Amino acid sequence: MRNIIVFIYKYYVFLLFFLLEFFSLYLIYQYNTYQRASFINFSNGVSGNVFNTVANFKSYFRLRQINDSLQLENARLRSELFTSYYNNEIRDFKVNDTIYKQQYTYIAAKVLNNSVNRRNNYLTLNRGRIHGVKQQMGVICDNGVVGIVMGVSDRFCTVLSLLNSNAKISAKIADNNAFGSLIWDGDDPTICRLLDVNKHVEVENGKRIVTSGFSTIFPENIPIGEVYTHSLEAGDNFHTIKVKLATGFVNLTSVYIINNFYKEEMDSLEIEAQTRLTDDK
Amino acid sequence: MINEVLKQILRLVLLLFIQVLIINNINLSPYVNPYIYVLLIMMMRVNVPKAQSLLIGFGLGMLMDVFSSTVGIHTFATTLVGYIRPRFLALSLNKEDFDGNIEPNIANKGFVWFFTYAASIIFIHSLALFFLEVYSMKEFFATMQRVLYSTGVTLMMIVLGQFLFFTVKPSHD
Repeated sequence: MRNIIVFIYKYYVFLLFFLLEFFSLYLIYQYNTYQRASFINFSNGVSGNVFNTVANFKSYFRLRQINDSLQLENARLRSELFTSYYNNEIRDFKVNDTIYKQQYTYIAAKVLNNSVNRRNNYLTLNRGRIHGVKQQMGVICDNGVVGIVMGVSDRFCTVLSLLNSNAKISAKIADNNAFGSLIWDGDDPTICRLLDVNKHVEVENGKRIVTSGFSTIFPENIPIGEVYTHSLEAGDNFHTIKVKLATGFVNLTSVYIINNFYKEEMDSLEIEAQTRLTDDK
Repeated sequence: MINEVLKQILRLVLLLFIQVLIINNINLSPYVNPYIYVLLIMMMRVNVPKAQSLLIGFGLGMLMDVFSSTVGIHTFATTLVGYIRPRFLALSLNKEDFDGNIEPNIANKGFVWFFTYAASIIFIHSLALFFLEVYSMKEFFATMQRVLYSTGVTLMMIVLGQFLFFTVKPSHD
């Protein structure tokens, strides 16, 4: 017994070092394997307030650009208004609520903190649990896809940016519906890579890339970008496609969080099907 | 003693302020991410007990993790630095330095010593930090580039900062 105490006393610095490093490795491992964001939920509340104050100051310097983009978006929305279509029908018709049920709603949010030059980038937004934000909601901006909500505190949330090694988004080529998954290489914050597009599919530069609607996170046909370069290596079954992103991550200020009303229903159905499949085996 | 603690807290707030609100917002390139907050551990007096140096490293890393939406990566890197620092000092300083309990800055130890000290600490810190951030060996060379460029820029900032705040005596080596 006495020897153990002497041993601990002699090497306590090393033991402490070992303990602390083990603890931080445990956090990293836990976080990377399960995507559990409990720690992030906690830290959001702390750092969110600081970023909020700074973002308030910074927003003054961007007022002109924000105004311009809002005006553009207003114009676009106005052109989609019911009253701006010429009605060709003689009889009027009502939209029946039993046929068209609203599936998606959008929560407007402001970007408080953002980075583009790390391998794994995150954003902090000024909307949280009390505004109805939950984990795994999609985030878009006027131009295109931004990321997926990862951690939520009462008034803030963190978003896994598209510019992150853990982000993988289901995308398709708008014209021919060939789908694949979109990842980021970590070099250029304006370029992503589209994987798994089969070689018999025709690809051209400049073709639009949009979300596929296969996941419950993003609705279909949200713009992502356009084909920047593409090539087909000899012996490879898949195209190498580089996508120029529509979202300007460098100066992102206002975004929308997507709420899918049927997400839980769809997810639970898929999980049920999967568990049934494994049970059968 | 109280003065010393106050000075460290003031330094901590100032460094975090510069790091989080200014440097993290400069998007130089995906390969250059200077992390100057590690200066806090570097500049502690040489007789700080080893356990204390470890715990300060751990706490500083936690704070940095909170402000960069990451989990554990800054904590690991700074704890490592807190462990290595006393060993580096024991190897490279002489008895008078420990008796005088000096602050290891450029004015006390000269350019060459400080440059080596800062370079080793920053390199170890960046190495741990960037590899844990990527969390795979798949992009080994890209990550290594990140480590080297970031170390270089951080080192430049810290050494220039030393020239700004201290008057350097003519080298006695």
